[in-house]
Amino acid sequence: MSEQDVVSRLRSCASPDALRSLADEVSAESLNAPRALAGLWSGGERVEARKAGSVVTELEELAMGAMLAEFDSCPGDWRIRYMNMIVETQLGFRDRIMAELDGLLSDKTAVSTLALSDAAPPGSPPLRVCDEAYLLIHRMVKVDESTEPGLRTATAFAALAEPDRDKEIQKWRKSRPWRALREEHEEP
Amino acid sequence: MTGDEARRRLSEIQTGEYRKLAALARQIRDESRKPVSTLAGAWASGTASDQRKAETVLTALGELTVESWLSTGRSMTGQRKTRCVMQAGLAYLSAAEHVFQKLNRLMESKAPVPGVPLAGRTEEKELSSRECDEAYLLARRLLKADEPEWIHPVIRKEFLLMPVAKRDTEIANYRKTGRWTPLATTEAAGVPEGEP
Repeated sequence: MSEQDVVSRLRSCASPDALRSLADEVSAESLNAPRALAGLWSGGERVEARKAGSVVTELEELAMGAMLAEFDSCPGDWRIRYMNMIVETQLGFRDRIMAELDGLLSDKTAVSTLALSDAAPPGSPPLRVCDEAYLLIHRMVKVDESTEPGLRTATAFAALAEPDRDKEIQKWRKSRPWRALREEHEEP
Repeated sequence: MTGDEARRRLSEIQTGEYRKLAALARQIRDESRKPVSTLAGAWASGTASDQRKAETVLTALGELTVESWLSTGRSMTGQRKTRCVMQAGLAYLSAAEHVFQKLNRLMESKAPVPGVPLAGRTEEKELSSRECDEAYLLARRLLKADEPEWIHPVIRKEFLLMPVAKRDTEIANYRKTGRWTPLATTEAAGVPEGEP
């Protein structure tokens, strides 16, 4: 599908079903070559499999998508190998997203459109960029408040006034999970 | 590039032609990302209607969009940039849910995992494991945020040295409660017990 095809298909979509169908088509097309090579890697003749592996390991999210799609039909002894690679890719993305969110934790601009539509219960004070970034981080790492007793739940955080949220964000930046996430490649 | 074409191109590369393999990977990456990045472009600079539709399609594409959201965000400023980062996070979460479902299912499997030779210290024998052990360790690595990356090889060794019955109890306990049992390694490093 060319760029023009994608844009004209998008514009012609008139219903949620049509958008869903476009997503399926884009996914199938994007994963066509990665899935073929993932299949060759796990089930092909030895030399071709090794070459396919060299390519697949460079395909990042496309490899992850291909492996998730192929997971149920891949040879049994490959399932953990696939999962290892999928988890590595996820951790790589998590690092990159966390680095971006780290920057947003200082941004006090008011949010005009919520990305996390269910982040703030009705009646909560309006969210700022830093608040939304904080809430997303908590979804991504699922911090347990019982092991980090100073930190509040997401709902309790959203109900706080701005100065108290600022204090909570500062507390989070000093917490053990955040330090582990941001320094995770450095041995002590 | 289609699957057939990728297979054909691969067959034309000789063993050891690493540059050609890397070039093929690059080409597949670029071509396969094109439809998603076009949608991200429509989201970033299209009409309000294009934006709404593109966001719906991109959301449905889940894990395939993380890279495109991050790349699009790099060329933007202000609220648009923020929104790209948030969308990348949401795409990550969608993938994480998908990945965790598979790991959770693998935690039921007692099938042995073929050993992978250790790089470097070859005198050390790889510990035997089952799919449930590996799935538990991967889930722990992915979800338990307060355990830094450097500690996971040590956790792995400690866990796989446990008797099978104890490992089964640990896995069952995690699946039932969502809480991770502390290991001697993590206690020594000052990591508290608890869920993710």
